[in-house]
Amino acid sequence: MEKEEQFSKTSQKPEKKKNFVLKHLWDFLLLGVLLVGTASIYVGRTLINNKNANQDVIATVLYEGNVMEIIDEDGKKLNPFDLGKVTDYKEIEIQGRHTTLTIGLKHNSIAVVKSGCPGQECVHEKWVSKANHPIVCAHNGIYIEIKTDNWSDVIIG
Amino acid sequence: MKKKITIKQLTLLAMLLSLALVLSIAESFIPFGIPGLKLGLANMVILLAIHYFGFWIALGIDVLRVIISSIAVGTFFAMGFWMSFAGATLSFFTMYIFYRWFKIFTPVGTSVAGAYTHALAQILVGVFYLGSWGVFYYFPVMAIASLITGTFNGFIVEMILRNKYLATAAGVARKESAS
Amino acid sequence: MKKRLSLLLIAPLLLACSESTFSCSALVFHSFFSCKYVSSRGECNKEMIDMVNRIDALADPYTNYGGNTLYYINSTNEPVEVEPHLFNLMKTALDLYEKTEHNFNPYIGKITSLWKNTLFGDDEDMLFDGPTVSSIEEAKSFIPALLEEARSTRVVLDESKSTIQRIGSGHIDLGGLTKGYSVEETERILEKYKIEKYLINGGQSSLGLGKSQDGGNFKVNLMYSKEENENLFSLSKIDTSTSAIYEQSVTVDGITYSHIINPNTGMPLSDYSMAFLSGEDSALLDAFSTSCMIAGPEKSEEWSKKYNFSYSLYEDVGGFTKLVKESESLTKARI
Repeated sequence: MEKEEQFSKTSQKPEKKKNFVLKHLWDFLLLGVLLVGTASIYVGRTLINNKNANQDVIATVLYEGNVMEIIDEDGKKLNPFDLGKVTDYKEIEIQGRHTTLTIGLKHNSIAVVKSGCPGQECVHEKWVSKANHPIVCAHNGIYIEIKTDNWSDVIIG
Repeated sequence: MKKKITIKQLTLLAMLLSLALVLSIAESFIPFGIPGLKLGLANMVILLAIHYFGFWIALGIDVLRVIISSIAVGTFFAMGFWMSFAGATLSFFTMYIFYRWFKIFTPVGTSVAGAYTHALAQILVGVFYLGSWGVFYYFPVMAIASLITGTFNGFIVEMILRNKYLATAAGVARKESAS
Repeated sequence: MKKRLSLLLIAPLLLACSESTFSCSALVFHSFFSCKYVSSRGECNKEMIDMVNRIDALADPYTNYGGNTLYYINSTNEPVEVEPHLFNLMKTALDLYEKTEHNFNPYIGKITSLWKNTLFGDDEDMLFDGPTVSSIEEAKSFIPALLEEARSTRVVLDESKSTIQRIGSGHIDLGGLTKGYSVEETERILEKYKIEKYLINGGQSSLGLGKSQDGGNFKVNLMYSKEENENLFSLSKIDTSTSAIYEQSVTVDGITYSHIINPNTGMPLSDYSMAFLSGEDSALLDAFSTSCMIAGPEKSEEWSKKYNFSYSLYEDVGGFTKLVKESESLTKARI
C-alpha cells in the first residue's frame, strides 16, 4: 500500500505542474504579450537611436515644460543648443526651481556637470549624445531633450 | 440595515494599511532614473484588500497609503506624489476590473495588469510634468521591472488567498461585514 | 514561438537601420564648407575634405602654401605647371569670364584686395577702426591704374602641358568661383558612391541640394528679408548660389560699400543687393550670381534663358531685400 501511495504521489507531481500552468494560462499569456510588446519597443528604439548615433544633435532645455530662455552676454539666444556647431568645451549656469545647475557643452554632447539637487540623478547621466535620451532633474523641474538635427531646413544669404 | 465595522475587520484593515505603507516607503528608496518612479510592491496588499473588502474600502486604503507615504518620504504634492497617486488609482481600477469581470485571470494576471498600468500612469504623469514625450525613454525598463514585481506580487496574493488559515480570518471579516 | 515572433518584429527595423547620416566640414575659402549625406558607410568624408583643402591651398591668392599655387602664379609671368584641379578651375574661370560678358572677372585680384583692406581691414590688423571718407577716396585714386592693369592682364592655358601662364601684372583672383567649383566636385564624388540624399553647403553662398533626409525637398530660406519667411523655396536635386551685399558691408557717409566689386567700374558698389540663382552647374551659378547682381534684371533674364538657370533678384530697401524680378520656375518653387 505504501508503494501505491508513493506511486500515486509521484504521479501527482506532473499533474500538479500541468494544473498549475493550465490554471494560470491566461495570466502567462498576458504577461508574455506585455513583455514581448515592451521588449520589442525597447529593442526597436535602441536600434533606431544607434542608427542616428553620429548625427548632429540639438539639445533643448525645458523648465517646467516650457523652453527655457537662456541668453549669453551679447543677448544671443542659446537655447536650443545646436551641439553640432559646438567646437570648444563650454559651461553654462542655469537656475532651476530650487537650485542652480551647471550645464556642460561639447561637440554633439551635453551633460549636467554640477547640480544642487539632492538625488544627483541628472549628474549621474553624464555626457549624452544620443537622440531621445533625456537628462532630467525633476527636483529642479529641468528636462533636457535631445533631438537629431533635421537638415532639410537651410538658411542662406 | 446599517453596516457595522467589527473589531476584527478594523484590525485587518489597519494591518493592511500599515503593510501597504511599509512597502510603499521601502520601494521609494529604489531609484529608477527619475525620482518618483516606483515598482508597485504595495499593489499586492491592495489586491488582497479588493478580495477581502471590495471596492470602496480597498480604494480608501490605496489613497490613504499614497498620501501618508508621500508625507513620510517628503514628496507630498510634488511630482513624485502625483506619480504615485496616478499609478495607484489607475492600477487599482485595472485590478478591480480584472477581479470583477475578467475571471479567467487569477490574481497573478490581475497583479500583472495592475503593475503595467501602474508604470504607464507614472510615466504619463512624468510626461505631463516635464513637458516632453521623451520621458517614455524610461518606460521599457520600468515596465519590465514592474511586470516582474507584479508576477511576484500575484503569486504571493494567490498563496495567501489559498491558505486555509488566513482565509478563515478573512472569511470571518467577510461574513461579519455582510451581516 | 516567442523568439520567432520577436525576430519578425525586429527584422524590418534592422533593414531600415542600414543607413546613417554622415557629415564633414572644413574651414576653407575664408569661410567654411560642410556636407551632410545619408549612406550606409561614411566613405566619402576623407575624400571630400582632402579635395576642398587642396582646392583652398591651390586657389588662395592671399596665402602662400608653397608649390605651384595661384599665389605663385601671381608672382611670375612664366608658364607654371599645375595640378588638374587648379587647371580646371582656371579654365572654367576663363570660360565664365566670356559667358558673363566680363562681369565675372578673375583679373581684378589687386582691386579686390585693395577694397578688402580699405573697408574691412587686413586679417592681421587688430586695430582697424573702419573705413573713413578719406581712406575711401585714397583707395578710389588707385582704381583707374589698377583697372588698366587688369585689362592688360590675361592668362594662357596649355592643355597638353597642363600649364597656366599669366601675362601682365594684374593678380588673378578666383574667389568668386571656388565655392561653386568645390560643390560641383563634391557632387561628383557623391554621384560616384550613388548617394542621393545630401546637402552641400559651400560657405552659405553655394548649395548643392540632393534629396532631403526623408527623400523630399529642402526648405531654403533667404536671409535679410523683412518678414521671416518671405523668401522660402522648396527645392531639391539642384544647385543654388547666392550673392548678397549684406554678409560683409559697411556704410560710410550714407553710401553702402560691400565686398562685391563691380569689375567694370572697380568700385564695391551695386544697384542691387542680392541675387539667388538655381540651376545645374554650381560653378557657373557662382560666377553668374555676382554678375546678375551687378548687371541687373534685363541681363539676368537674358543670361538665364541662354545658360539655363533661374534667378531671383533683389534690391535694398531700408536694409532688407525687396524682390525686383524673378524667373518663373523659382516663383513656382516658393512656399
